[in-house]
Amino acid sequence: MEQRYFEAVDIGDEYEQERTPTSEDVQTFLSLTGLGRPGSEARSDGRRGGPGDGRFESAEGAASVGLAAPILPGNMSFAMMSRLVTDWAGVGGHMLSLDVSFRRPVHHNDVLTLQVLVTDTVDDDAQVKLDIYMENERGERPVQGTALVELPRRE
Amino acid sequence: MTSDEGGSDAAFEYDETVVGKEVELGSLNVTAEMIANYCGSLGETNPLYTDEAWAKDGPYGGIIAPPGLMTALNFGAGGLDAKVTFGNTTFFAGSRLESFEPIRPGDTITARTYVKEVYPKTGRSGTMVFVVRRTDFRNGDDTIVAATEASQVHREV
Repeated sequence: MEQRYFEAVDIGDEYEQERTPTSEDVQTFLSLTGLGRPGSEARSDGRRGGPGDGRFESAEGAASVGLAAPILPGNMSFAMMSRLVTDWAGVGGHMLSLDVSFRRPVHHNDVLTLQVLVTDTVDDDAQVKLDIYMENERGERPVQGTALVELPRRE
Repeated sequence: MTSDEGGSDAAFEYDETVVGKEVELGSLNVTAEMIANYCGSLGETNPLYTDEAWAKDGPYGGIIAPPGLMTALNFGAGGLDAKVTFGNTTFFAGSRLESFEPIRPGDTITARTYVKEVYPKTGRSGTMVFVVRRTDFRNGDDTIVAATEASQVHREV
């Protein structure tokens, strides 16, 4: 894994990686989080909706909340964006913060391009500000956000 | 409380008394298996998180958890319910993670959360009501190692 150093980063630098999360990947993630379990997020008013309705696992569950196909949990998309940033930073970098907005559903087996764009550098703290995007094969950007990363300096 | 504030024509109700009231979600022990499962589901290859032999000589003296792990774990409870009466379903709208200290296998992490705000917003796809929840994660030394702010949207589909 490449180590990125603060001195080598310029505004406008780009980086990307491809990911295709499978249904199996989603199941592994759900088993970790418990999000697929019915009632994992209790609703006091008894209305439909909320994790546990099958939206992450089945076409039927997805349809019950108006979705065309099963989707990734938002925190799995978040985890993928977190990985994008820590991969970009390398093992000596530190992701200080990550802000992500979910604009559209991400479906199982979507071919996703995850992208980083350097938008600012802060020399005093060796910090770098990033815009981050997830783009699917249909040209949509279902997930986007920003990150703040601290990088090591060359000795 | 009934609200039509926030530049929106949304009429909705929620339990204002839960805003700012912090509750404990629970504690859990972060294990090497938990980290491996999380990494496996993402195809993670960063040796900081996946390679014990490499990590032993790395910056933290051993494997640490990827920062995103804290947003994925289930601490057992969901926090206080704002009881928003709007729409017929909910979606995860966004999240912010702040990472302060490394989290290691064997750490016991305790999560405490509160509803930070509830507000309506109207866009091209109609009106939605957002519930923002902040959660702090503390290790056994009572040090805050990470914090999240998650937005859940209530809407009609």
